[in-house]
Amino acid sequence: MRLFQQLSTLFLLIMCFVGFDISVYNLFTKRYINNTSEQMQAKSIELDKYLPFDDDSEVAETDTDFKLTENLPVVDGAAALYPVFSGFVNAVYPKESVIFDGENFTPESSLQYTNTLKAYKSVVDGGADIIFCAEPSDEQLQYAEEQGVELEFIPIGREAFVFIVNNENPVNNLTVEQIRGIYSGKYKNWSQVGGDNTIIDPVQRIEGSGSQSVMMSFMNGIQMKKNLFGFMGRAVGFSFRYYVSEIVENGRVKMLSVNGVYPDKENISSEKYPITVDFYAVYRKDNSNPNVKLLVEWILSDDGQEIIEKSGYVPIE
Amino acid sequence: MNEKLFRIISIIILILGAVSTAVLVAYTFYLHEHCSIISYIANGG
Repeated sequence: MRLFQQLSTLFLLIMCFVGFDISVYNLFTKRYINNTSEQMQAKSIELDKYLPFDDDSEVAETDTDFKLTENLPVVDGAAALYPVFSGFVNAVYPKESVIFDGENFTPESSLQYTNTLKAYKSVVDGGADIIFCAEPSDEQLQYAEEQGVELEFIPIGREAFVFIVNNENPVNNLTVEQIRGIYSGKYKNWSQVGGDNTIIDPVQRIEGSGSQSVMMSFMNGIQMKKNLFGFMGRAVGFSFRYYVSEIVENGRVKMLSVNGVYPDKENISSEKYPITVDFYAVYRKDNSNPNVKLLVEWILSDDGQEIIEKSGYVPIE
Repeated sequence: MNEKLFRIISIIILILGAVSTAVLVAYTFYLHEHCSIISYIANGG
């Protein structure tokens, strides 16, 4: 009898730990498992998929007479726009100006990829001549001001800012007011916005990332709040349309319509979709390389805009 | 099973259980830092 009690105690002890670990795994761990490739996890995009001058590349191409051969502006930018500025380089730069070591571009390469946070710092510090990004955060503008640098922002294309949920979420549409209400903490349950009785988990990105800056701008001064119990419910997140639908292509997330309008290319260019943003070519106003302005002028030409269109974005008027 | 053996086995289970839980929690925090919004939502978040 005593042996049975001892064995039962030991078994119970083991089951307590096993039960606790399984609960932690199911509630938290498995939600955070990144299901993209290693390169996507490290850099937010697979660089070699849109590599310029590569036969297997998916980078957009155009025939253009405009070519740069010297004083090549160093270009950098956001993950979501990498296919676009890689396309510019592919069309205009000489092949030998791009050096890719299999993981990223070498410091000598005229094409760089560091993503939004570092790209803004790089253009201010003089590492990059032109960066391609969404609007900057207040901190990024402040950094430029502290360094005594004035930046020029030239809109070169448009993109939809989209909200995404899991495929199993029955909600397919939110209004602008509902989205602001969710992120301000006014709505905490999906049943308040037409969904089922589940807690809303409004997730955000790190400050300074392109999509976080756009989201803060979209909130129009309303402070965003996180839901402490969000992990027990269903999430809503935000990103850019092309990044969600073409670069990541995760079949288990869906984009929501906003005010009843789905974020497809037609609804962006006709401005029916209510949350579209410009993306910019950004350079220092005091940049003395004459090719910086020539390249931006070409980007705004029909040939440059063709790259934007073929890359899946919406050209600027 | 004598009392001494029972205590030793209990302590071993406690240590192994605590270590496995600590590793799982640390791994979860690591994943949390590196997980993209899209993966999180795709995983049912």
